[in-house]
Amino acid sequence: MKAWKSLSKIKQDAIVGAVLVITIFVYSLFASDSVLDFMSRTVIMMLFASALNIILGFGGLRPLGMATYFGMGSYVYVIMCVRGGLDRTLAIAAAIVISMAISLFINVICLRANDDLTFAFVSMGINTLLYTMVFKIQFVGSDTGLTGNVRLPFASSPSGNFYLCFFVCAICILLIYLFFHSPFATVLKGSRDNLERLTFIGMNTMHVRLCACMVSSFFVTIAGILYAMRNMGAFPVMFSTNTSTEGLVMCLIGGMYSFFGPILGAVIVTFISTQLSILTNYYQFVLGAIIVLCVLFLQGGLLRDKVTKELNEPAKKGAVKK
Amino acid sequence: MNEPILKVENLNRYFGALHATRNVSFEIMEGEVRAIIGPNGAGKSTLMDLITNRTVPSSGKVLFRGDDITGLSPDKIVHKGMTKCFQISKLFTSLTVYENVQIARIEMNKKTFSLFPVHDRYLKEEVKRYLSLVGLESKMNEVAAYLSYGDQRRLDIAIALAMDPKLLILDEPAAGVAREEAYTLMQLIRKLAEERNMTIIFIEHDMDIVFNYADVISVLRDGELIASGTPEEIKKNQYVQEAYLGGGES
Amino acid sequence: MTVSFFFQTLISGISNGMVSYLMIAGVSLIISGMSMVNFGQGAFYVLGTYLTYTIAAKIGFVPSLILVPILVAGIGYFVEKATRPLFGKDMLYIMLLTYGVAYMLCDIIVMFWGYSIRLLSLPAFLNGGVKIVGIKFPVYYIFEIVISGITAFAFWLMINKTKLGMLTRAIISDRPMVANLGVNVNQMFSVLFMIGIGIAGLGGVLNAPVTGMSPKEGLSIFGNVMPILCIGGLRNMDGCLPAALLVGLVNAFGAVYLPQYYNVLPAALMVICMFINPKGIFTRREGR
Repeated sequence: MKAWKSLSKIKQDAIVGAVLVITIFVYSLFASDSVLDFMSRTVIMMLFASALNIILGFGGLRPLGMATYFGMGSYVYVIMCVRGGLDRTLAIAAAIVISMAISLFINVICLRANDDLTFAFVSMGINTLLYTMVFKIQFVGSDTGLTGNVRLPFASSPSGNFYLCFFVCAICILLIYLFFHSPFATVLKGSRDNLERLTFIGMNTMHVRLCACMVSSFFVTIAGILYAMRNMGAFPVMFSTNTSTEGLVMCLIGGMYSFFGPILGAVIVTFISTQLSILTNYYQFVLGAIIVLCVLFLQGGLLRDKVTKELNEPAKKGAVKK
Repeated sequence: MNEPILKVENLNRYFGALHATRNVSFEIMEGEVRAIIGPNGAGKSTLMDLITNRTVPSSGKVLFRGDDITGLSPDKIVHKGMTKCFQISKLFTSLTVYENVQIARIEMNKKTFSLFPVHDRYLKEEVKRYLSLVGLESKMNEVAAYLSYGDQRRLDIAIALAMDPKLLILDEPAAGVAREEAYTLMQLIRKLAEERNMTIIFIEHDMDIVFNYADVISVLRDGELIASGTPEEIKKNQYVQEAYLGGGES
Repeated sequence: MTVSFFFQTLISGISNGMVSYLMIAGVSLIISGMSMVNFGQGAFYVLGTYLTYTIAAKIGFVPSLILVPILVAGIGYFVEKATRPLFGKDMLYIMLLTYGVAYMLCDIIVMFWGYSIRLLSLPAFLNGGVKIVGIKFPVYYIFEIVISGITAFAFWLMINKTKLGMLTRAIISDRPMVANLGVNVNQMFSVLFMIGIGIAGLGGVLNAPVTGMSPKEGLSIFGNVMPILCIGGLRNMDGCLPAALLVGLVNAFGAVYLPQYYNVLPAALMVICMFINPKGIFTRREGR
């Protein structure tokens, strides 16, 4: 225990990360195809939740409509492949570029008022809007979605696809980790604590938040593309507000203020939701109950730290040091 | 050196029917330490908000180092060299003392949007320097929220200093702090002002501090500037005595 | 479009808007007064509708107008109690809690009433049409407008003319101060929450004879009327009514001209309004 505490935070994180990667890898070697499918989904959700946490835990905003970018990544990629007839790699590039352009537009709308509550509502509103639209538009397959063989040629078997997902997600999560140690990340954490002070340090807070949202959307788009590959198609459920909420719950359960929190949360929530739909018809009730219980008893999530304690139970002004 | 660093012309602010700031005009020279005093509700904080454009003036002009900054957004004003510390310390509570000042230096070094980790040894030296100016270097790794109130005030000032301002506005720097500590704080501020050729404006209620540490005192009442002058002049000023000091020596 | 059709669409839009207003007014009250967002509002609305199916069959439609909102408000009381431990904490927790409650409510409705979509038959005097200025209008639309209008007026009266309303407005501007005055803020919050939920329940009752509603809609319905909040201004209770009417009209006329896409009009409108004035186009623009 002492040896563990003596290591620097970065070394601790590196060890945990390495253990995680190795465990998943080893487990996958013995897993059947259906388990690999489940693991693909879990790994993609890890990326989704981590990216969401950029704005949620570190940015202090409440993104209620993350599925917008997730669905956009999936749909644009599949459209490019199936309707556009583009070659896969080109389709990926096109999907990223187009999704980012649309994300920019959407994020600007959400952040216009530079107000937490408005951001939450508008992002949810746009999510609902796109979700409803996707059901109706023929071009994107209405309620059955678009299917097609969208996997990369060298990763078309279930295990091949899993390893691709795993590899890409691992790299992306590593990138997010590096991002969390950048100067911008410190500024972002500052924006969470005291937005107005940032203005008086000379920063345009809307630009700071916009940048964070774009970084987040980037990774969520990639997660969406991977998901389309896994499912061999794009379906309306990828846009649904359920998906957005699931992402939030993942961060909530796992711990909003730690790096590995969303990852842990992703595993737990994906596991529960896949098992639940098998066990009971009243899946929504149980999910709702879990959310309520988590919020009431598990604030700050499972992986808590000093920051969490501070943000949840602010020390009184002028308190003596602990 | 005889151009005023801050010039305020006919500044007015209405809140509905309330005429909170009435036609205020004054000049401040570079290197001055100016105190703004006045009874509660005189409009001191409003005036400071107007100067830093946290609130938009209803009419009038604010000129800083010769440039018209009226209506310019607060973040741009900071880059011109004016910054403000608030009455209640606005710190980044969950971040460490080091990180609090680091944010200011990140912005000044234009690294705000740098998305990848930067090996910032030079940044560390800079931050340490500013922390040592206020005596917080030893507490570098403490979380800001757990500092004592006096230390939080110091951190507040360190963050402001880290922006190398030419004009620093302090809203009640001694509020909530014990007498001794307040004197130390003001002494520190004066010393730093001289060393770094900063101009200081501070709002204060504590008359001892005002008379001991200010070069020039401006008195506000009901949104109007009723007197400006050296501490001796102000002590003798009849209007000020009526309005504020209660018609006698404080 | 003929003149009579225009007016019929107009009235349809206004009644649609008014019923949406009932749902949103509660949320707005809860946001402004308690700084809480109640994402479960839609679920309570749907609950109101379903309760009406059962209760109206027993005691008739008009008495349900009074009983159902009270029942729904009662359930709201327990929900509010659940949010107590979260006071003062991150707004996100309350959002998620009410969201979770909405999930639970939806399935509870399914448990009791099943999935089949029902309709209620109206009492005779509310059926059929009435001729005004030579144009035929469904009586029920007029009825909806009247009831919603009375409720809106009563709501306005409560906020502006009663002691409760005065305390509400005080809490909105300065909660700690009101607490210091010895007012039991917690009790007030319970009352406010129940009023907010009860109004939504009333909207559900009015909706019962008109639209078949699936229990799962409890969530999506909130998303559909949320643009009204954004258009009216999130912290501006007065902006709700004009925004609701605007959206109702847009919906009604949109359904005529763009039948395929009329669902997305409120949200599209919200996007446009966000560009015009991020704080809501019905918020009075005051100097900063």
